[in-house]
Amino acid sequence: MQNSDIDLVNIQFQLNGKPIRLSVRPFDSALAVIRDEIGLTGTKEGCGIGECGACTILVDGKAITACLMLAPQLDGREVQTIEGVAEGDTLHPVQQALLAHGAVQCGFCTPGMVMSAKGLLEANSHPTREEIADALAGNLCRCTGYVQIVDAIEELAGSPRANEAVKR
Amino acid sequence: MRSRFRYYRPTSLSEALDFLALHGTDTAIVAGGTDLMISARSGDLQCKYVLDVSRLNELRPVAMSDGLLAIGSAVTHAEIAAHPVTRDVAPVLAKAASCVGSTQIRNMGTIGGNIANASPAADTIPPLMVHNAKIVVKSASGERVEYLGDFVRGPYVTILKPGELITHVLLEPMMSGYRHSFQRIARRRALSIARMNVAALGLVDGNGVIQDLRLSVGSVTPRPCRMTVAEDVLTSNKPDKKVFWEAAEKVSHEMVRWSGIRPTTEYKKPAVEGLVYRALADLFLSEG
Repeated sequence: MQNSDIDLVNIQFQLNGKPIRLSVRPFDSALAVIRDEIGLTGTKEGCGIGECGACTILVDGKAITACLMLAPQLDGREVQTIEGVAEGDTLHPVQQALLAHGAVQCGFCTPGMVMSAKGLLEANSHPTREEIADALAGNLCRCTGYVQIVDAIEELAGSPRANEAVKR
Repeated sequence: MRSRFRYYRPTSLSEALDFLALHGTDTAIVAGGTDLMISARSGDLQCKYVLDVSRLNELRPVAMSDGLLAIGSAVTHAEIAAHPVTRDVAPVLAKAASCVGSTQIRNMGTIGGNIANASPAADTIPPLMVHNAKIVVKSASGERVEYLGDFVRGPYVTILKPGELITHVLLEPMMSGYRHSFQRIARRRALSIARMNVAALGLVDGNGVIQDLRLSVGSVTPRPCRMTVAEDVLTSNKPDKKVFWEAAEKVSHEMVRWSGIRPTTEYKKPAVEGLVYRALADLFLSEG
């Protein structure tokens, strides 16, 4: 498709703490722009219709599925993807907890799981197991490793590191 | 192939209405995107423009106004589920909103979108019906107010005309002493579209007799309605299991009367009866 006959939309937003400015096709999803235009491929496309949660990102701190967001709707928002959660070589507490619990199998769902867990902990630093399961219910893991994932977040939520997870 | 369109984001309601007055027939309205993006991906969405109303402050209030609860059409399910005012005067709607989709869907999807999409399985519609909700629709030339039961004409069909925009819904607040219940059946707890859902409000007087009962069941009739035949069975009776089952059977008769006998009726009949029973038992036999 030629871009010359399309009215591109100029947008600017904060991506992983840095300002970004670009022109997007009005009908593309935020997911397509993040992966294909910006090149951050940690956010995965699973179903493309909002059912699997693999493309979960945080927009103004809230977990959303990037496949259901129009790219121009990113304008003015504060966006965080999986690439923005670790600090250098230091993994985010949620990532560390998942590793410690063997909660990563094939890994395809993991970026979305991390973002959903991060969104939960930012709103509620000490969730119950039920609240964790509810917050992650929109993320499918086809390796069915749910128990370890919920265990990991539950232990993190019950530890002093929960507050650290919130700050970052 | 993906649908192609132009994107326009107005900065005020009047700007949005002016745009719709000019381009209403060629325009699809987007807020949360949870329905529109699916038809855009498949290529089913046919429009020249997409009008993004998600940031219009005029569509974002949740407040009591002249004795009614006004909820802006661009308020998300997550906001309705968490808002102290909805939890106080429309707890059955707050509960239903907390059951929609998943955290991600609830952070995106809006009540206005749920109504405009008019899925028979929409989780917010039965609660709105028991609150006698009215839909406020504006256009460049004025405003009209319609009961939800009149606004939705059938599955995915409403009386919204090109050029019009749902601005808010008005609910009668739940009066003190009322009990409420929301129940649903779905294949998977999160994300699945409800196969059936039930909202009920009930009031019992000092003698233990049901004074008022409001019942609406989603996905069993082509249009949202109140199950008045079942409500009549319950009103003026004392709540007990026998009368609950009697009311539940009235609902399944009503379903068959509207939809006829279908291949799924054999499964749906006991399911809807069980769900209505569960809602009534939750309403009157559970504590609190």
